[in-house]
Amino acid sequence: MKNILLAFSVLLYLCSSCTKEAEYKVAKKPVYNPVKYGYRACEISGENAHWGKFTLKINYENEVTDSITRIDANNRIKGRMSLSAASKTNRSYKMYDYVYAVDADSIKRLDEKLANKYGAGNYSLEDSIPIAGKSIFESKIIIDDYGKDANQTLEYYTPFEDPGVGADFNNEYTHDSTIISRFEFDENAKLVAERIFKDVYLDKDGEKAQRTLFKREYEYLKDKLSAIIYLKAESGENFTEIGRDNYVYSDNKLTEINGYSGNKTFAYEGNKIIMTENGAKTEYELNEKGFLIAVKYPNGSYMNIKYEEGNGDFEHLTPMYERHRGLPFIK
Amino acid sequence: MKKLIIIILALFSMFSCYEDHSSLNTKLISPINIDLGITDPSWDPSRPIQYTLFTLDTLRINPIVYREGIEDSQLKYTWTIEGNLIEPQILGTNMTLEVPITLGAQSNAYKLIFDVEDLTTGIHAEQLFDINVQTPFGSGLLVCDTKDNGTSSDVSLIMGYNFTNGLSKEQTKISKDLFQKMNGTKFEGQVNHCQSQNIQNGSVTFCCTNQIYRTDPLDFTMLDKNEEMFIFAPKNLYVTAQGFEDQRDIEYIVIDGLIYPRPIQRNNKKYLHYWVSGDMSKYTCSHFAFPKYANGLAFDSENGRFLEVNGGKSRLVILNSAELCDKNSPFDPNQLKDYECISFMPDGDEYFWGIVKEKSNSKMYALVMQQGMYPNEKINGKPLRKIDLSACTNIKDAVFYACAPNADVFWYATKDQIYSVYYATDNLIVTPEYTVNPGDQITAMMLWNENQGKVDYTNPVPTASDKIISTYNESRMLVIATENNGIGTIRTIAVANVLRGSLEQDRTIHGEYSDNFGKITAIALHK
Repeated sequence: MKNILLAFSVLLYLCSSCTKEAEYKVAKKPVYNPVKYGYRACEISGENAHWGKFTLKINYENEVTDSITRIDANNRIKGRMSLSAASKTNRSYKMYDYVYAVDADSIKRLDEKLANKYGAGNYSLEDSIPIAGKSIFESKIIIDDYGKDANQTLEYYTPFEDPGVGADFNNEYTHDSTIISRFEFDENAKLVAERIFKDVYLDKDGEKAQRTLFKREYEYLKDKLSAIIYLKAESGENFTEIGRDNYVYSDNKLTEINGYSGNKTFAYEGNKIIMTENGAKTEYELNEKGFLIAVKYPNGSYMNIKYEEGNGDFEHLTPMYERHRGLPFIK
Repeated sequence: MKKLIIIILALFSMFSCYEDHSSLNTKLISPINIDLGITDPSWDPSRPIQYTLFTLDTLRINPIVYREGIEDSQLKYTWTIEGNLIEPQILGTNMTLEVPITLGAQSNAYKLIFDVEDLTTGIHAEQLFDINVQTPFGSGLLVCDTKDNGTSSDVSLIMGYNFTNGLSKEQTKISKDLFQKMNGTKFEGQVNHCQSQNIQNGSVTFCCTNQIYRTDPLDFTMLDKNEEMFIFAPKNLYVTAQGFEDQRDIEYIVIDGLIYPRPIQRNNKKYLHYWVSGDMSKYTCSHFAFPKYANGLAFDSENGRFLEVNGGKSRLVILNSAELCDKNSPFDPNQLKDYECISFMPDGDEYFWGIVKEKSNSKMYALVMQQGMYPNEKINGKPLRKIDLSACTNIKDAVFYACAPNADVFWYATKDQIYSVYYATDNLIVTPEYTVNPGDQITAMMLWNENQGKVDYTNPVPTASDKIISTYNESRMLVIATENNGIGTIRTIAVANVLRGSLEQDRTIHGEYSDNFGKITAIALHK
């Protein structure tokens, strides 16, 4: 009897220790681990209408894009992108153009002064002109608890065309628009919807804005994007469809996008993808690992991209829509 | 038996070790997101969002609402507004709201509740908004304009930085064509005079070519018109002047040269019989002026004299030349038959200021007279100065005048120029101050004489860090209306130097108000 009581006590103890009733378990959302490509863009050189010839030197810190320095054809620093805030869930970038802080008349006087002091050809006027940083683009990304890009806010600025001189001198960039996007993913981490606030500023102070609401829905067929549906909510209304892009594939390759955003065809020549839209061709060149290494745009601007070993997050600077519409982008 | 007990206990222990996974058999419900797209990091989402607008304004709120994993069509939206004095009203049932607010202004904010129901689960989410509704008919500037060459007219109200207290430049509110909106019809003819008395039993009176309209100053609904507002109606209704006596709350209107009074006390709505002159002689009032603290004066063009508009005696009192004049007096207020009155107004709280033209030679003069206020009523109209205006450039083309209280300065405007005249010295100093834009012409001008709104002017200290000074605008701002090809514009110009009457020269800080106005024929301050 004594043994029985002992065994009974031990089992009761086991019984109570084994029970997991006290632990309330709930289903958890899947965690999305960021894609590790093993390579990351480290230098982008090219030419465009605003910057002219440029090179972007990209630096990473703990696999996060930390800064980008823009240098011109003469190897002078002409701009910088800096990471102004970074945490596990938050990254804010600002891209600055370095512009002259003084007007053309002042530069002319400075040139004369330097020439008198050092003699012609014995000084660098360009390096002597005071400069100011003007934001041309800002990106703020919020990453949710599950590792997804949940929100992205993009700010766009328009550079001055003519800064003027004297009392009329104004080198400020105009705040053009703000685009706030909210992303929705499915269980397989596929982007299924993007909801967008687009604020276009009506005054140069950026105080009055006209807001428009957009939505893009992404449809897939066997893991491939088959359509993007564009919706808009007029003030006082719900979202209604305004158009759609259909994606056509052949031999597992994207050959055509037709619909709302225009008709595009894709041709594949070796490691090049040539996109044709309204007769204009954009040429994408990929390396053997599938990374974008060159782009040539119809207007003559171009980019060449170099990669290094390591992981990064440069793709965060590309709007989500651009990353999901089937076109190559820089990683 | 022992074995049996042990087996039972062992089985029991196995059962007790069974991990209960039933709680995992649940589906997480993603939240309903009511996203207002606010990027301001200082925004506190737990507080209601404030919106301030005027009655009849359109309220637009554009959130994006979603719940991940379900179709938007599975969400039901309800926008409900409520307040202490109204029944709850549903304003909308879509995701975004665009609705004209017809609720009355009130000091407490209305509560707007945006309720979203997830039809798949029955779960609700709410977002609260505070909706502050203000009257669109507050203080400002009344602008009467015509777009059909005087066949019909309407009135608009500008509430803005220059005309209304507490409004920034971005908050300018122009309520267009109020008479049409509130009464379904326009004024017949062109509004030549407009006067607003936004006080108890007050009204806004619009005098057109042959029509007179009165409206409620709070909402511009018509109170009465024409003969309805007279006990003894005049034969025709051509109004040549309007005035108001602050001390006794009497409104005056001049028709056919006769002065009709309306004491507004005791809720009196009607204009009384016109007043007669002290000697019962026929008179023809061409101009009159009402200071704040003294009896008004009227110019009697029939007899070439000034009469005192005496509300206490309810008649036009003949000024006593013997008491007011001596041998040094510059003129006799009862001996002005040789002159035609061009303009007449109070000059602050001390003087009357008149512009007259000599009939024989068209020479122009300014007449300055003393205001006589308690206990010196007897000196009301005492002649002080007669200033020869021959030195004033283009004075014969002048169409509008304004004088600066507490400074020896007045301004006159031709169709395209404004001049200041400094008359403290023996020789007048006449300075061109403002030239209209090419093609413009001035159609109205007034000196803003209420402390209502603000005006900007250039800091006279060039090295100061604040290049522009903002100041209260009483007697510091000229308001002009200009016209160009039938399009009217209101402009405000600061008096940059009060003592010399210099106007602000930097046009970029002049005020400009335009909203498809027609030709502006009358402007008035609306308190």
